[in-house]
Amino acid sequence: MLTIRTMSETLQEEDIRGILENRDESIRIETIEPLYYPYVMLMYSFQLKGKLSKLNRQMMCNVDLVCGRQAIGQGIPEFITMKVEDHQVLPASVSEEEFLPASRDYVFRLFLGKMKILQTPEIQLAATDYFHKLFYLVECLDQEDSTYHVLVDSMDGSLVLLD
Amino acid sequence: MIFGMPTISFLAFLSWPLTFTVTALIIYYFMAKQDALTDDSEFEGEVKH
Amino acid sequence: MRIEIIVLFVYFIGMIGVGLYWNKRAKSSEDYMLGGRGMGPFITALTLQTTAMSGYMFMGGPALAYSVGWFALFYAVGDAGGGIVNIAVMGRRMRRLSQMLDCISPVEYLEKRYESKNIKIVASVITIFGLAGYILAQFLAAGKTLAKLFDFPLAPALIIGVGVILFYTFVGGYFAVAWTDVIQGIIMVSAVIGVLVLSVNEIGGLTALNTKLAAIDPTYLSVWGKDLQYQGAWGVIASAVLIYLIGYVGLPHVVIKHMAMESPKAAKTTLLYATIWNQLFIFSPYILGICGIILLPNIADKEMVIPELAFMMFPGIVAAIVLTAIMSAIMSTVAALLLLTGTVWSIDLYKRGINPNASDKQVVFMSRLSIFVVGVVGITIAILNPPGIFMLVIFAFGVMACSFMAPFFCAIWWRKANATGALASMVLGGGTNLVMTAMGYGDSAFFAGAIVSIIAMIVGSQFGKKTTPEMIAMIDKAAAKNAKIAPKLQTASSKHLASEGKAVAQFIRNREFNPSC
Repeated sequence: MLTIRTMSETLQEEDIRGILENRDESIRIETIEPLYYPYVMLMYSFQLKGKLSKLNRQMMCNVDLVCGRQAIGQGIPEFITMKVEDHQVLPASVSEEEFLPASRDYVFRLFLGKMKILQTPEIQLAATDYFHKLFYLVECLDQEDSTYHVLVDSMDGSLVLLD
Repeated sequence: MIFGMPTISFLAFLSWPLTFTVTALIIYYFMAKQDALTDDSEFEGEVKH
Repeated sequence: MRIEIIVLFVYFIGMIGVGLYWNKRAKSSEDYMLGGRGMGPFITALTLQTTAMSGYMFMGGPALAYSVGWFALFYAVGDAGGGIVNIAVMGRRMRRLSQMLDCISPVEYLEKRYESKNIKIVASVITIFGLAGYILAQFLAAGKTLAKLFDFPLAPALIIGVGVILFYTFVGGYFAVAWTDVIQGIIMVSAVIGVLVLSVNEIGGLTALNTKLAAIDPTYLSVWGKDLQYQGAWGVIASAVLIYLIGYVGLPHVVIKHMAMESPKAAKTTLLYATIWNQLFIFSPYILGICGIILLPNIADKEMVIPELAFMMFPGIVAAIVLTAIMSAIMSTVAALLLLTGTVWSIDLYKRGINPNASDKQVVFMSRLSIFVVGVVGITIAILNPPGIFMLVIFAFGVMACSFMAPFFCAIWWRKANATGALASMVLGGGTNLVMTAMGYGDSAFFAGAIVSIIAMIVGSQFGKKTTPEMIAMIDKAAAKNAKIAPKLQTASSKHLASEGKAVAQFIRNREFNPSC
């Protein structure tokens, strides 16, 4: 069993079933399995001097700890701590040494490109938060009885077909 | 002579606005037909910058 | 104070005001700062054109028409149709693939599609080189416009003109550039069409124009150009038409518009608007050049046809607005190009290539430095030996187009295209254009370079690392070929979960082989 931190408000299995049936009335769902995906949330603060200080802002960068991909986050959810089975958790394979400089560059580059102000901002890492996001792995059968999988995000119900 | 130009000159230089507009309309029609069969909602909405 | 100067200041303050207004309004939305929502096909089509044209349009085009007559319109023909080719062929697939590859710049797109860091380096260098040429042409146009407005000699006019551009670039990002672009676009087009209508009217109509032209020299009306200088020169005509007809496919600052389109389905509407819009004014500067032959037979500098005609046709204040519109259109184009150049240099080349341990301060410094350098070098070259604007733009376009056309096109239409092919294409295609122009065959340089780049791509792709299966899958996906799962379900599949999807797919594959429960 592993102890992880994850979002408190998530969709439940019935919701997931509903979402999928909404897309495809004849969908054949075999199993729905929860999977926990590791991320780290990095809060960066950008400070500019003088008149430009009104452009000071915080940027939240979420890093996918399996592939290292960065994305800008919107809003901070509520977390709870819970225990889950080992096989339900994807192992993180990106270390701090790898993601810290990469994320910093990512937000810096975004900031530079978007703000178009050619002054060096002072960038500080204000917070680091490790968490796992719940996904539902749904196994389905298609019209020819082959298996396919759908991964559904428990936060917003968005989904992706797995190949 | 059209508009004081040799016909070949007129066609070579000034027939294009009509040609291109018509072409664009035809291509629009075909692209719309293709788009109707394509599912693009994963690509819709904001492009992440 | 001269009325022109007053108009100029009022205009600039107006633009700044509009920019500030929108900036304040949008400040609450993080999305806007991150460059989110597209502005819809109509606005996109409009700004596509205003970004692409400016200095060349107002000065270079008319000058060529003044020299060779109607033949110059062959350059317009390609341009007027280029939008169709470009958007129809590239728009949707490129929009999809660039989102899947998760890139925001054309250089990054090439690097990721061809899975090669060398591509990034070569593409960055060519981009900077090509953009620099184009920027130089804009500097000249700005300087000349100011010289006309203020009656200054060229050198101080250039320094002021470039100074304003640099100021705008440094502060410009702060303002809502998109809206100022729209307003400027509308003023620009109205101005050009206005001058055109009045000029043709002054001459007595299209037929009268041609009759008078024929009276001076009938070869002005010939498809082979004045003095039949291009008779039989199919290479030249092909280059003139092709350079814009297909050349747009290779231009980084145009390509980036596909990537930023709000959705693939917006492409067809953008195409329609852009085409109609283009027919309205692409031909106009050239026709104005031809009017100049009749109305301004003793003009000192051919590139000043439109400003001279503007002063002739409109009362002072309107002419001043026309010229101010030209000035600011140039500025907004250059600002965007300078920033693109600065970013490509400081981040793609410097930080990710030369000095990976560069601090933020160094990166910002590099960005500013490169912009300053381009500015200073640009002014120096322009003062010492101003080449014709038209040839400069053609040259810059030509090198970039010959280098990038094949790589961008094959990125989505040919799965077998790989890094080796793309590199060969860039170097040999662009190189051919460069060498031929230097040797004096500039007129056919594009045509030759395009052919070389295509051959290089085909031959080069037979060697080196093959395109990976994952990339092939993405290319197919971008072509919107779908499989046997319920369509609505496929529709719903989100790309922003793409990497999670891949990771989980791998995870469950591993689990199948190593069950741990």
